[in-house]
Amino acid sequence: MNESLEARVSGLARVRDEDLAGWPHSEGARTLLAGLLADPPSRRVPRARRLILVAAAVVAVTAGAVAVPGMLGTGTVPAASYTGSAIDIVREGDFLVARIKDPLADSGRYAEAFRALGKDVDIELVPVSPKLVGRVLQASLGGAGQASTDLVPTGAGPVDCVAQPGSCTLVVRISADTTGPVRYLLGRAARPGESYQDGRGGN
Amino acid sequence: MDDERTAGFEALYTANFSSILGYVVRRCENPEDAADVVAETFAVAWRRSDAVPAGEEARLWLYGVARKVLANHRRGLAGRRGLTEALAADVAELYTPSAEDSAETGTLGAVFRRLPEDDRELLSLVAWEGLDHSELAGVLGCSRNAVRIRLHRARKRLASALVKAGVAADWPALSGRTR
Repeated sequence: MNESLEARVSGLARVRDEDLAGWPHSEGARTLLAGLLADPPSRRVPRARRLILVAAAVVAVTAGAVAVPGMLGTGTVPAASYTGSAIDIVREGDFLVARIKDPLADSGRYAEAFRALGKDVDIELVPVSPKLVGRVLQASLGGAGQASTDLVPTGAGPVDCVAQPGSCTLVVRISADTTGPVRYLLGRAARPGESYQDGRGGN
Repeated sequence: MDDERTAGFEALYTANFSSILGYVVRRCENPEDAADVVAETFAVAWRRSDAVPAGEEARLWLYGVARKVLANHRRGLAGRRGLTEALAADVAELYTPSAEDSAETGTLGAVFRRLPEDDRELLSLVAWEGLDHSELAGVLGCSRNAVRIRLHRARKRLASALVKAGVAADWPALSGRTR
């Protein structure tokens, strides 16, 4: 009868820590750890992105000076976002973020989407070996600003996009204030039997 | 630097997995939810590994995270099911009712579950995780004095609920640890 209240509550516990001693080494625990480690936090920071800085400052100033009044002069306000079966584009801070939903779509569909947002952006995707998926093979940015590409898991679960590019979505970020034409040649996952065009960009 | 971070996290995970699994299993109604909450807790720790305190403090920090994750889980957490299926299957064995579950435990359990959630969590942290006042203050984010008062009230409420339910206990023993 001397049992304390605490001891009685303690008896309600489904399990005690002492009974779980070997659990960190169980299969389930190891699987979870491996899954977490496969998704390093550093991948989420811009440092890991393949940034392309536009070096031609003189070109940028010139193009900006011409293009901005030109756009204002048309009197049309570009849409804020675009949703289509081939591509979605949304504004995130200072960037237009394009998610390529159908990497096999005609490149005109991507250009059309960017045009709806008032941007002159051409993206062409060519089949490449897995290690080059999501990489920029050729780029030409005619205006101010910067652009980057990233490969992110399509679903909610963590995926190693280098090992399984087919389970990942190609994301292209372009400065929202980019004024000049942007031309991109990017690598996409090859379909079975499709030959790689890695050499095309000379990269 | 990444290798260092990975090694640090592995050590944290191995050292604290049992404590966090225990904490979560004692509070989750089913193994799938428990596995999800454990996964999310360590995912937060991995994302914020710079913020995790060293040594014994890490366990308390993880309790704090697990507590928040549990609260979110009740509002619907998008799990990491692909990662947690194996763990949930392992954890299921902890949910098999044991022969020791007596009628007395049943009544006590029912009374305990009807307590306000804050009382329950406070008493659980003492009885199940064995935390003292200053550790409780750390996990709950309040002062030691507030812990002392809240704990006193929680114990009183449990005691009177037990009396009402006809499973009265001997109150003088309810002092708890105060170090």
